[in-house]
Amino acid sequence: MGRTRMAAAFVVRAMAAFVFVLAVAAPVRAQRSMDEYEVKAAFLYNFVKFVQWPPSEQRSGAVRIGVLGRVPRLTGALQTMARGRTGNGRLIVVKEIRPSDDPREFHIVFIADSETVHAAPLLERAQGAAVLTVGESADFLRQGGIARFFVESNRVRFQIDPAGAQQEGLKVSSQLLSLAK
Amino acid sequence: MVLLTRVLVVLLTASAAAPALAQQTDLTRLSVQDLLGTQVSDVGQVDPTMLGTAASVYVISRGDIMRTAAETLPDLLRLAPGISVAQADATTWRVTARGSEAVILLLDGQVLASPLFGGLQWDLQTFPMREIERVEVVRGASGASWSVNGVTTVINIVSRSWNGSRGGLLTGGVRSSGNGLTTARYVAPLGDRWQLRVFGGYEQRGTASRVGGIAEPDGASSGLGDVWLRWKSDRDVVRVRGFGQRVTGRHLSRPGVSPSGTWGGTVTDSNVGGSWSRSFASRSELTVQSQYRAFRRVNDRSWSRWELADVDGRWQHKTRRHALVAGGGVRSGRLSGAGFIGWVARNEQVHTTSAFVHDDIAVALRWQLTPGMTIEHSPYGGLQAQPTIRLVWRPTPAQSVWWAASRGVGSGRLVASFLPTRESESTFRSEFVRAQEAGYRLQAGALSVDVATFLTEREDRLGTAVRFESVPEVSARGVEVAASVRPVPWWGLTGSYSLMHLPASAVVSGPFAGVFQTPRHQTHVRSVFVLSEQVELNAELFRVSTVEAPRNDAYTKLDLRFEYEIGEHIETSFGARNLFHGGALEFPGNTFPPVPLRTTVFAELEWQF
Repeated sequence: MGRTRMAAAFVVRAMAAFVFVLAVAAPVRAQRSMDEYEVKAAFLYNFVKFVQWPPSEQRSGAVRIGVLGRVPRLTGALQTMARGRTGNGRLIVVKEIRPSDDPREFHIVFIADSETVHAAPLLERAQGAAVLTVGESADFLRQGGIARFFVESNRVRFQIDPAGAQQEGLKVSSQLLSLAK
Repeated sequence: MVLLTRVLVVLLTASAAAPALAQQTDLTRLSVQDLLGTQVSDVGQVDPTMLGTAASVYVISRGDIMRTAAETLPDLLRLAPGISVAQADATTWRVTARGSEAVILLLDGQVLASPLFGGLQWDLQTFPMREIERVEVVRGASGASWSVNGVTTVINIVSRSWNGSRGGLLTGGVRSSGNGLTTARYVAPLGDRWQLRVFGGYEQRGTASRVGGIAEPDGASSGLGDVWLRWKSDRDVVRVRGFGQRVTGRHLSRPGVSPSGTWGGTVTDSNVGGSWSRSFASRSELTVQSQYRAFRRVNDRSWSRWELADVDGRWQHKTRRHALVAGGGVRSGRLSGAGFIGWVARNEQVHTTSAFVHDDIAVALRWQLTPGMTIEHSPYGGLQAQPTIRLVWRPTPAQSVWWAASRGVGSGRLVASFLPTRESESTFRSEFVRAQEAGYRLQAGALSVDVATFLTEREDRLGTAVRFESVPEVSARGVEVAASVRPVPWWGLTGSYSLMHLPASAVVSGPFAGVFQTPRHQTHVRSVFVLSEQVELNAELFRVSTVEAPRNDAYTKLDLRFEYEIGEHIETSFGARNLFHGGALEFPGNTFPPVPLRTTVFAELEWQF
């Protein structure tokens, strides 16, 4: 009995300490680090400014960004950024897509890591339609994707396959290429 | 109860207030340069590919490893649900998963250590934590991959890749427990295609066991060196690794296994290995790897020496509906030794051959079926087939439900390989285990939940007699839950709970009594605060329930770690481990001298150049 009580007292004390640490720590926080997918969304927004698409019949007017995979933080951030703003003088439309959707209707297609299984067929269908395909998986560029995000020392980095982009008729500014890894 | 309610209220208030503290940044104003410099939060991050996995897998991420107060690999494994860890002396840990000590350690898919006589030799697993990218813990039925047998828990250490980077890292630390670790690492690209990584470390381990409050001399010191060389082209990656380690230490007696009193000894361990992978048109990948390992343990009372060479091949092929993985391996070993319980082995040679195949088949829109099979041939077990079948259903993109059934050999391969006596043949052959598992996963934004249940049954019992060479594998069932939530990018809360049920008949008598007992309840809560870009706080609370026979009382402990980035290249961390332990024992005294939990403080410094 005594032991149980002692154990219970320890649990309570430990929990109290835990909460104390938590309560003290939260307000002193000064600067926040950002969510990975918000940063990725901001990168995609920037890509619109640094990439020129060839004229296409399927896409006119707004810059269309398709997102495959449940990444609400990315989609949400992109939608907030797109609201009432333009990239390179064009309106941006963001849409969540399914693996069966036609990627050729979009200027940028982002394929989240969780959807890597669907990447290969989607990339195949996007081929030759000047779609800037952006992924996260390690072999995304090898699979035929054009750009890829990865995280290094807690910072989002990106890779671009310049030859692939050229093949698709995408003009990627040298400034962006110089910042790619 | 009142206190508990208050605690909960404070907790809820804190979580409610937290989002308000986060200021909104206008993302559109950030340039590409700004974005490249923005620190992203990796707090409470969960691997999204987990959703499609029909196995009890838990990934200890790089963020977890960087922040934890754990100082060794076994300590780190406490973060994974379903794994029970108890330190048995300064350099020995008892790590069990689902009631079994059959745990295999892999480094980048290559067998680093395999249970020899049941338990892993943890004193040799000094792989430095800073060099680890992540640790994948596959509990119980791991299925067919890398020709590891079907129902063994697999711990795969994925080392950091250091792609294209250049520079060095020096780390040093002191702990009030007498433990200390100093490491140096340098990475350099050699031309366009080559990369070299050199690592050296020295570790000191203070005494851990206590008899009557007096420290027993069970410390150790170890030095290790590690060299990696990598060559990469568009299609090929070739890696070569050389590794050497020497551990000098004192161990305590284990009645029935080792003679009484303390004994000292030296272990040398060296390993040379390499791998080659080639990708074909982004759909297929072939990997061939090989290693040679020589190991020598000499101490006051016994000696053993073994050499091991293996070659493994693995081929992956993806089509629209299939993801096929097939491979095989040959392992050849030689053991000599004379030791504790009177066994003598002279150049005992063992060859095992294995082959495996499994295929992820998209059978319907949201259904994936994975049949798999491992076939192994060993001189002691003969030809053994270990089939698995797995099924995943994804009702929504954020959720998955899975089920798996497998049959396999219940102990690690090396247990089979290095049995020194012929008598063990017959006993080993019958040690089959059937496992059934089912689980649920949810990954919705900042919340993730992972629930796994399991039931493992031996096909035939060995009875109560415990043989040294065939570690008993007990029937067990249980539930393992892991969850993480990140209310704001700078605060993550992760927790896990495991419930293990071993039937009373599984309680083993004899020298190993209690060794295979696992606490019925284990709880772990971790809170990470990224207070600023320079300061982070990590708090980890562990609760381990009472273990019966031999009895060990329940305990709760808290680990704290603060990290402060002094400059761009210098980082310091300090903290305390085992707070509030209340004098509990980590390991009871019946089989080993007891190891009490002790509060220790530590400080570490890290310099990058």
